[in-house]
Amino acid sequence: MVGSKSRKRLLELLVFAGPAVLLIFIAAELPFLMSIYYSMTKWNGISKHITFTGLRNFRELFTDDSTFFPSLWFTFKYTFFNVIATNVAAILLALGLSKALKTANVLRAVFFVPNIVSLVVIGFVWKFIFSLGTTSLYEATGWGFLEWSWLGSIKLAFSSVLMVSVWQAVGFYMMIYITGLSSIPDDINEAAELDGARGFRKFFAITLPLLMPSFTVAMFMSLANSLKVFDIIYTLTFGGPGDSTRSLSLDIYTEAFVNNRYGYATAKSIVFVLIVLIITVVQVKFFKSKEVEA
Amino acid sequence: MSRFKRFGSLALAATLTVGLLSACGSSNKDEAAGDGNKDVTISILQYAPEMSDALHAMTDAYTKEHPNVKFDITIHQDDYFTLLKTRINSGDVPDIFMTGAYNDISTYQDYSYDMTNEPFMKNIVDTAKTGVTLDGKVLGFPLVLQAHSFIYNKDLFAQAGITELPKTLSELDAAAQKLKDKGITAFANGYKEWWVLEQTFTQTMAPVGGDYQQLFADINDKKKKVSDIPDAMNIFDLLDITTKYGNAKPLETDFNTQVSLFAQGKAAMMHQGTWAEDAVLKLNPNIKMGFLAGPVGTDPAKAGLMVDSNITYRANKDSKNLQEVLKFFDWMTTSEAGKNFIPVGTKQISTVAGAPFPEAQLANETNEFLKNGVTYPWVKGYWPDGYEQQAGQILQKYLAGALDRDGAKAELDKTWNKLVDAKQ
Repeated sequence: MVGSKSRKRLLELLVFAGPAVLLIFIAAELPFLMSIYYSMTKWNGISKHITFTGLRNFRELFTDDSTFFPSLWFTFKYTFFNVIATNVAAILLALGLSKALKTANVLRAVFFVPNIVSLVVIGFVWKFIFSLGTTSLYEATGWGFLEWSWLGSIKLAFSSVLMVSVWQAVGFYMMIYITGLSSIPDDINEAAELDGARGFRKFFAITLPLLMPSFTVAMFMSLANSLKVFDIIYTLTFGGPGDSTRSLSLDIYTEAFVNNRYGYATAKSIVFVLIVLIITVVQVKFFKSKEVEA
Repeated sequence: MSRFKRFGSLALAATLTVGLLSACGSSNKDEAAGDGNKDVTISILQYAPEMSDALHAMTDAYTKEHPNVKFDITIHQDDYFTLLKTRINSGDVPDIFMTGAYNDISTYQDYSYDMTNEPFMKNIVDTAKTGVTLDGKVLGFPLVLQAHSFIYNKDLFAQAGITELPKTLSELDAAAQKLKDKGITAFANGYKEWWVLEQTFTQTMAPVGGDYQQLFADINDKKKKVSDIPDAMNIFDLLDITTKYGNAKPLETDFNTQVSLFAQGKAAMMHQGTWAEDAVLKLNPNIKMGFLAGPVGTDPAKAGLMVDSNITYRANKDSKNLQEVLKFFDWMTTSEAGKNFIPVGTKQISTVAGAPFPEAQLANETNEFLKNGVTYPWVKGYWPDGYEQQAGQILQKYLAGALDRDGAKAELDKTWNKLVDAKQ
């Protein structure tokens, strides 16, 4: 017989966690399990005939795919620069805006605003700025860099996409760091200053180690978000010119909805999930080990 | 990609949702309220937003005559096919949905009603039926006849003293030079849109003539290659001419920008189709424009206009409103309001025999070509799924300088084979 106490606990668990678990199962786990099946089929996403092909999709993916690995490489490159640029910019902003400035609150809001606008809207706004905005500005000023084809040349398109995504995301990470900074006890700061630590030294010896929990969170999120970048590229360049800014998620999308190869696209997404899983787990483990107690 | 939610358990669930918020879509299902005797709501899902006003006017007219029939219309441009596939896969197939012809006919065959023996099919001109017929079965209702090629501004051509319209690539180059001498940009290039490039590409491919079915079957069987079609490979010369005399930043110029450059008289030509007329006229009601027979090489006789019917309505064969849908289609080909929908409402050429002719410059030009000129079908109907966009993107890479001609040719061949293999 189970004791009434533990039965009560079980009931509590079911009542409180049950609905959430059920919903997550239906909305996330079930589709994932179904994806595993679809990844082993040949299906155009529409037809009523689905052919089971075993591991053929995966074999093609690793031996005969001309877009997956370039897209993977683009995604890694984008992630690398995006994570660094976003976090450095966010820490700098956080440091600046956690000072007792009169305008600090206004500025925090200003930097945060791009984050609450939908990425699709941001994509369209920046597309306009890059193509028509800069052209008009060039006609008015004659400054050469405004004449560049920001989204139309292969070299610049990458930096343009990167710039917009940093601009969009920085406010959010700034808030994480500001929260982290405000949780560093004043006495530690004062003690450090009494010991003569200032400027860079204080930042690297005191602030940064104590900021590690925020850093773990911010790094994890920016990493995961960069790896699965989609909306901003979709609206800004649609992977172009050519396929020079095609991220992996866009490649999967193209395979499923343009090439009508739903099964194959699902196989790609399964591989992609594994890649993201490994990277993020390693990253979180690594940064967790670096955290220190105040 | 909700799979990443799993990580939410790392004490981040709340903050992570911020990032997921941006990806929402909605579709509302308007079911007929109460299934009384005959009350039905026919759902229509389609692209082509330029038809919006005309479509509503037509369905309102139908509802007036048949008060028990109402319509639930959803028009969606970007991403249309993603939405359609999602609706189909969730079991929410619209009663009427729009697709292209040719390849799309076979892609969506499992859901399409076979209209071969429906009486209204007799009212549709035969030229429009090729693209909607699969193994002898008519699986779609072809809506409009559309045409594309270079559209030119007649006044600007006159200003530059071009009296003879160019029909070969060297004549095109010479005409563009004349325009340039007058300080006029010759081409508005909307090469941000892969479909503009793909349409330009089909225009150089179509003049090969002969038995298209056989040609593309040979390419599918790897007996021939896309790059073996000599006319088609003139695409590179053609693109070079358009960019040499074209607007700045062609790879950033989308359809709207391209049309506005042309409409404002900032460029004398653009590669576009009949669907662009309305947009041009909204910006500049006084413009006089016409179609060039698209120059594709050295032979003036090969220059022609691409005319086809590539927009079709499909009836969902499992719909509970199927009979009402068929009645509606029949009405579209027999009643005044139905026949006027395309030519009067959208100013395009109807596929219904006996429908009035649109009062539109490009439609008139198309009609001229159909009577006395050279016209070609849209050969992309024979291409494998996905090749339209991929070919457009390969040409973008060529224009951006990431591929040279040989590289682009190799890529065009390779992509074709890959997409064909994927089908088998």
